[in-house]
Amino acid sequence: MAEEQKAETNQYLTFKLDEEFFTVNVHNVREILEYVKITRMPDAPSFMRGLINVRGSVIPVIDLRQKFGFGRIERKTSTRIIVLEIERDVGRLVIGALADSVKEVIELSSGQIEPPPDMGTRWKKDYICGVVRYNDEFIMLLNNRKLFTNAELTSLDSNDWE
Amino acid sequence: MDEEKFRETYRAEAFEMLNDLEEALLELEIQPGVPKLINRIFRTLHTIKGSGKMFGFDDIAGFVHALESVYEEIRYGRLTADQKLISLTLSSCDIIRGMLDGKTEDSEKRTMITDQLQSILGEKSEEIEQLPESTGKNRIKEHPITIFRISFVPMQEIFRAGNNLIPLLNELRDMGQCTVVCHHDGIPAINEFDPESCYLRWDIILTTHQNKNDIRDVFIFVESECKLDITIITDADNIQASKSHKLLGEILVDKKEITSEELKESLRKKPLFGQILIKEKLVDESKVEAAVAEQQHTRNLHYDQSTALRTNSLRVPAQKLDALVDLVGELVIAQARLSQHASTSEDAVAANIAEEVERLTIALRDNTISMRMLPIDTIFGKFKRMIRDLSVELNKKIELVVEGGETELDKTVLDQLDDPLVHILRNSIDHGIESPEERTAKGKASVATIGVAAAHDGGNVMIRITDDGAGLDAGSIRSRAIEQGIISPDTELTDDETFNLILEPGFSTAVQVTDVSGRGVGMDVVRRRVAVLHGTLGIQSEPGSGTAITIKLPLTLAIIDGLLTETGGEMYVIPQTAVIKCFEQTHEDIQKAHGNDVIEVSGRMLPYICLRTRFSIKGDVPPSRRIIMCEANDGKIGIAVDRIIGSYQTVIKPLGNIYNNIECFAGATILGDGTVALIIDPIKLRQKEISGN
Repeated sequence: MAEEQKAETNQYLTFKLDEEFFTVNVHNVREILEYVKITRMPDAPSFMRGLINVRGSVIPVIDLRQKFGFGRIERKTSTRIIVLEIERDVGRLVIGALADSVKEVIELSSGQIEPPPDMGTRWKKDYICGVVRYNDEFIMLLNNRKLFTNAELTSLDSNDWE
Repeated sequence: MDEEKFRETYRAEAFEMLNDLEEALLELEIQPGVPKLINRIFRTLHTIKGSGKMFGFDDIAGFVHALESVYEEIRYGRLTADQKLISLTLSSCDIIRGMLDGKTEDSEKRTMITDQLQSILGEKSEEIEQLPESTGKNRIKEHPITIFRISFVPMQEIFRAGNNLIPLLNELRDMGQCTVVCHHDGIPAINEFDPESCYLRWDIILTTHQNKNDIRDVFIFVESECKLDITIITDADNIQASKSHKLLGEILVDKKEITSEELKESLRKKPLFGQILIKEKLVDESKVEAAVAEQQHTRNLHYDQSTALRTNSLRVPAQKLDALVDLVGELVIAQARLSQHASTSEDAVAANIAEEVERLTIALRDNTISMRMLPIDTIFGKFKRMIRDLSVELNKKIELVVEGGETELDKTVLDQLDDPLVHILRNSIDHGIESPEERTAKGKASVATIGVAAAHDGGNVMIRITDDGAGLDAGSIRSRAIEQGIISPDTELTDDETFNLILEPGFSTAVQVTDVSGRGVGMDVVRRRVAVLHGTLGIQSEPGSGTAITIKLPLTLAIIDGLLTETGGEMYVIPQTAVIKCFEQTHEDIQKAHGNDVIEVSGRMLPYICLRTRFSIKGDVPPSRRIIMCEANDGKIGIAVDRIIGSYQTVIKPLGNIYNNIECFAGATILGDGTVALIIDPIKLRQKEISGN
């Protein structure tokens, strides 16, 4: 199921987009940053918020909330940038993901992760590769393999045509 | 550990020497028999062999030995370096490269080459028989040069008759090139030592035009008081018997210092053959020394000069330099922050220091980058070899003319330039250049010319590859492009635009897929590779008389001078090399243009791109703004910004592959406040505007 995440760790970082909980394997998390000024990238899809400097490297920042169609993340005191490191066939991608807030690191066994429901959700189910019931909340596991392809990151979404 | 380091140094040097060797070989092919070249080849081979042995590359030393022997023969005019031999030597270079890389698979080829070399050495004597007086060219004098070994063993009483031996030796020295080795192993213990006796004996190796009797005459007065043995070590008759007179062991056997059985036994224990002989007490150390001296006797001593030259430069691994460039990049960013902070504070001392740091940083940056600069010759050299091989393979006659090889480029740019250039050249040779017959039929010189020229052009380097081949056929390119759906049949294009179609992805005019260019890599890949280096590619062609491909590249990829601008709070950097001039555009100027994005500059219309509109930047247009006039390939373009902040040392950071399709940026940089600014590529900005986004 979550085959792209290395099996040696089953710790997951949870964060909120809008009112929903999401999670990503800590193996893919490089660091968590306070909100910094993001330089807009003209001609890029609007969910790609732009570029930031992380200790001398320039990395792109994605607004997952907007990508999922929940509206744009506005800056609040709780807003964070999660720096993700994703191994891909075309090379490693280091990308910042905006989150409305970052919650905690939790332990999950693969048995706890269930396949996402195939209908009835407001997010595109391709972007989610599993669902976990944790402390009375449903937590969605990001599908790194699908979400962070070049095609997904560069194709303009419907909002950009307005 | 240390040894590994030395081996690494040897490898690095050997690769360089091989390049030098190839160059000399190719020159020798053009100008046969030039002694300077032959000596250079011999010297290089000798060094490769000698240091190879020293650092434990015995296989290389062994392999090079035969080559060295052949070139020694050439030096003495006993062999001529024909094309076959040069080809053989060139393939040997490849094999040595393989050996340096630790490849063992081509050992078969290795043996084949060694055998061929040995047979060349064997043939040599026949050639000499055929050549004597008939061909004066062959530098074989009427009195052939002979190398003699003179073994001079005076009797102990020789001094008592009042003989002085030194003039004898000097007389021999006057006869030709002479190496004298003195054996002192006969000296007895001090209690037995008689000061009036001679305990020494000599081996003398002499290269001379004189004959054996002339030598004997030198010793005429001491003949009765010594044992004199004069042998010819190289002349036509002897050579056939021993395939190479230079082998140390053979010399010793020849001199009856050891038996051939002993030699064979010791040979198994290679590498340190001479030392083994000494260790095993088969021969005395001085005897080996004498043999080694004989081996060295005829060698050119220029080697010393070449090592002396080398001490003025330092060998540093490229990674260390890269790390240094990165650090300087970080320093430049930190310095920008310092300057920004100092300029906003009231502190005059801080401003002073910041200015000083800025000056030093710029100097440090320029120095660091210059360290990574290499002459473009380092890759041009390779082309000579490639073109030679290809012309043989394809049966075409080609002459390569290189210009501006001393032009310097950043090593990182050079490394990535190699493949695209090779591809362009291969295309030229394979598709551009006609066969000699065709060329003659067309009234062209049968030997085609390929030109590779490099030159500085402002902050850029221009590389131009020209050929005088068939040129491009605009008609067939057009029909092919229509066929492949690259353009629609009713598109109207100028010839130059048509030629540039071959740079489009998926385009290929090659009807016949050959080994040379039919590798699935087309010109579009070349263009992409050049674009990665922030360079541009242009094609001009004249049907029937040739094609010219021009590559324009920035000097370095690491740090550039930029112009920092601001529009509606967004910062953009424009490379200084592209900027021609900047001027103000007032509100009236804008109204005068009646909604067209053009401005009058010294009587001509300059189209401009308003960044605010182009990049959908929010905010109102200020009453007056700035237009930056830029050079963009063959056209000029203005870029309208709100405000110019000033020049900025720009450390280029890659955008990463997800932004590859956004073409109007050359990268990003980090500003003094830690935020990111995008670097505009005026050429691509213009292209995208022309092609209608």
